[in-house]
Amino acid sequence: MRWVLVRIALRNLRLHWVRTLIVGVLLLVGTWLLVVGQAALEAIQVGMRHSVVDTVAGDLQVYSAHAKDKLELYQSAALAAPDIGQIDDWSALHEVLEGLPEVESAIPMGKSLSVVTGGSMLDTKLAELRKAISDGDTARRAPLVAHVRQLVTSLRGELDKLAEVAADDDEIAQQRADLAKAESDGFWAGFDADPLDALEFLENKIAPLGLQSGIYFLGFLGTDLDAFAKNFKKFEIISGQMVPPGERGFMFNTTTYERLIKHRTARRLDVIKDARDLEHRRIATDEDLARKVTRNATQVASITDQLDPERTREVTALLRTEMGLPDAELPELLGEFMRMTDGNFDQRYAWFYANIAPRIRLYAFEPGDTLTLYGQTKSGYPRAVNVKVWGVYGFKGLERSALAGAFHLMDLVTFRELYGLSDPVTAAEVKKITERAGIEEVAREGAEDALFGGDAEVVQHVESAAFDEVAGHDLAGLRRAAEAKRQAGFTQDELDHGPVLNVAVFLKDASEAALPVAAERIRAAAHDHGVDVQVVPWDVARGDTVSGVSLGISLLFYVSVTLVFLVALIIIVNALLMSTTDRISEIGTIRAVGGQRGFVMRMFAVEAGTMGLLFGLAGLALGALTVASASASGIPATSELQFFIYGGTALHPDLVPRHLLIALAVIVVVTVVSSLLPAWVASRISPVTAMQTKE
Amino acid sequence: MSIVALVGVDKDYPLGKTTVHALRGVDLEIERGEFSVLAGPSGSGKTTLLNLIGCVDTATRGRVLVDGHDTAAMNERARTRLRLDTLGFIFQSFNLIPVLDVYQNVEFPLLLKRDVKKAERRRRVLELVERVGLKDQLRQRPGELSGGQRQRVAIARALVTRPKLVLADEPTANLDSGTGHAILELMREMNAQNGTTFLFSTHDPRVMDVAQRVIQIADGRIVETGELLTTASAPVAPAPAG
Repeated sequence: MRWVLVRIALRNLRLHWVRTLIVGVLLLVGTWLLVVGQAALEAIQVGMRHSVVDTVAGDLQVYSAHAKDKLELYQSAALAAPDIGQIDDWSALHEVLEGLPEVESAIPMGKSLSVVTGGSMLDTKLAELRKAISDGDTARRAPLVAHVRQLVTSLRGELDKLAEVAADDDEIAQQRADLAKAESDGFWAGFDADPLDALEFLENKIAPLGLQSGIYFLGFLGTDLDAFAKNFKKFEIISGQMVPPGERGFMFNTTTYERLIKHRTARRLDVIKDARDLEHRRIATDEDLARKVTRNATQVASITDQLDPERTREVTALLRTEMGLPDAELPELLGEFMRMTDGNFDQRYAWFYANIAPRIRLYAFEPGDTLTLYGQTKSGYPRAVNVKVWGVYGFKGLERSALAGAFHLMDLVTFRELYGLSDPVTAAEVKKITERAGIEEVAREGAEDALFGGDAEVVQHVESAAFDEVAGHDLAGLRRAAEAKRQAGFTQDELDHGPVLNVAVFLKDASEAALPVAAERIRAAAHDHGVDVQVVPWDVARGDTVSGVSLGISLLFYVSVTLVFLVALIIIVNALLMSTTDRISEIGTIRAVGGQRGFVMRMFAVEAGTMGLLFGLAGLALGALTVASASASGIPATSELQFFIYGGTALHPDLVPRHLLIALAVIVVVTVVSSLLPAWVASRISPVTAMQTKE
Repeated sequence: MSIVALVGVDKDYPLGKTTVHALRGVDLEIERGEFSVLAGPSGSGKTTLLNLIGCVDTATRGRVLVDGHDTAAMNERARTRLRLDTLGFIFQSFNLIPVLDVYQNVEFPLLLKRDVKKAERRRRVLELVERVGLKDQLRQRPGELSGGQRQRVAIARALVTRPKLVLADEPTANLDSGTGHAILELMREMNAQNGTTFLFSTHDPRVMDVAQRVIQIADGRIVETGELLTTASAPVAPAPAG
């Protein structure tokens, strides 16, 4: 008897083909969306997992059981950095982890933020000059000397401005005298005789008079750099070299390096290029890109200031030929050159990198430089360390993701110093000293109570006193002291025996089911060895911000699928209700000759179900085709977030039979459910109507 | 026991703010094997009476017994089952299912019965289709048939379940006189051969001529219960020539 139902259903679908087609297309789109969406969503979950696990989290994160806050790897501004406590002895925990068969590797780490001030142009040129002198590069030496003299002269105006607001007249008078000396022909006449002495004078007395060129906030991860590079699969060196084992050092992350540290003009050109190539935006039609072009054309001083007289001549000559303006001067030439259009952008972009970029300093800091990082210790006291930049690293496929590239790397020993982490031995010594002196350690948040509370004790912080003083004033002295330390390096033992904040753990079996089991095993084993830790899987450790992104994407998918099917549902209900009124006589007849209400209801359910099945299958086929082709060619990432959630430059969704089955089930259920109301209405049609209606 | 018995039946239904008294105090008995006609002008209550007997509607007052079942005491499901098992319907406008061909339309009630095996269904359908003379149109759709042919299909459909009572609401109204005559003859034949009870509603005098009994109805009352002429099959008058 089923064929009667199917036959009747097919007849009605064919009879009202316009209606059938409209509903059918909706169902088809819905099914397609379900198949493609599920595949994309799953690929995104996998991609995001790689972006998190293979760059910083590992499969599990271990941190102190006594943490005040939750661990959030992607917590943004460190100003309100979460207090995740510390693991006092990394070596003890390391031993426990290595003893567990399920653990593949463990990487100690700690996250913090520090401030670096970019040197002034004078600082930069003096550094170049010092290098030229020590390398014996006489060709570079003369133009650099000329450039430095030019920059020194320009300092007079800045000093006059400073004099208006300065309180210490004696100091100003001394500075004026220094500057007068540096400007004098006599000083430069004697420069060649003893260049290093003259350089020292310029570096210590003159350079500090100049304005600093910028303040950079750098988030970084202190870690066992070798272990980090070996275990995080997406790690790669972009330029420079890896910090050698046992050396202190700093590695810039390429994403932030390109964005914040790069010369503004070059950076803007890069952004325009990406927008054109990846997102197909155009300067002519995109306000943001047009603004960037204008800014490059008006801010040519950022380039001309960097060029010494010789290079100014070179670039001017090159640009005169390139632009066909034989009489124009450099600012005008550069302004004209930078006024790029969609037509000449690619050619000028290449020309810039071939001819101008090599003559200017492209990055505020480069491998080989020493950074002075100003940070706050865990308890809130300022501290500074010097650390050498060895290279720039990146995460494969994630070079454009700000989220993945949010932190730079530094060796763990330097991190401990900057962050004020002390090992148990030092801590015990400090404790002994403070006890003897009757000094009580007070954390920042408790300071007011201790000072002004009921039984207030006046408290002086031993650690802060020295550094506060140094941070404000004798920077040169600090630099020299730190330089010695920087060059000292450290032993593996120093690295191992000391505190860390958290630990990334890779497992041999990282399946969904294995994670919680391993987490509990690690916690228990550490506890047995007297280390109280908490262990969280990567998707918890990533923190609410990134979890929110993941949730948002899922939500977007489910909401849009729900909307499509809701609309389909309403239209199907409406179409079938119209169908009941059209077929009153037929239904009446069926009821009159002995068809039960249930038969009429089934008739409608089968009609809707048939439509669902037909168009659902078509949607499945189309969806499967889409996924298959996307799987082969990949969906390229165009926006910054996409790089992160795709786990690389393209998304490769997989065709999984489960998705097809789920989609088919959903479509059939939706159509059958949508037929319920019309079916019920039809079943209420009285058999009397068979007698009433006439042809 | 008579196949149909109505005792003191009233049927009211609302029409706007007034109430229409479609049937008033109807008493009627139909014997098994009758070939009878309900006659009366339009709006006299013929169709209402057929609806009550056909269990597609229920009386406002009084009792309607069909094959011994009090239809008012039954639920919708049981009444539907009674229609399927005991009654056959022939409609004025044929009411075939357009998508099904002749064979499938005739088979349809048997499918609803669920307990008739496929071979048996086939046997019955072919036998009836042959008897109504549509053996060559077996696979045609209603849309491809003439009015007379359609009504023959409807007759076959009404008889395929071997009902005890066939109700026909003005079965010849939409047919020309020659075709109408042939249809009547066919039904008479069925009545004679199987003893199936037939009850028509009509205001066509030629239909009344072939009936064993003519029940006159006017303004919702039975005005003449008629006399049962004979229980044996009387020959139907030949169709007028031309």
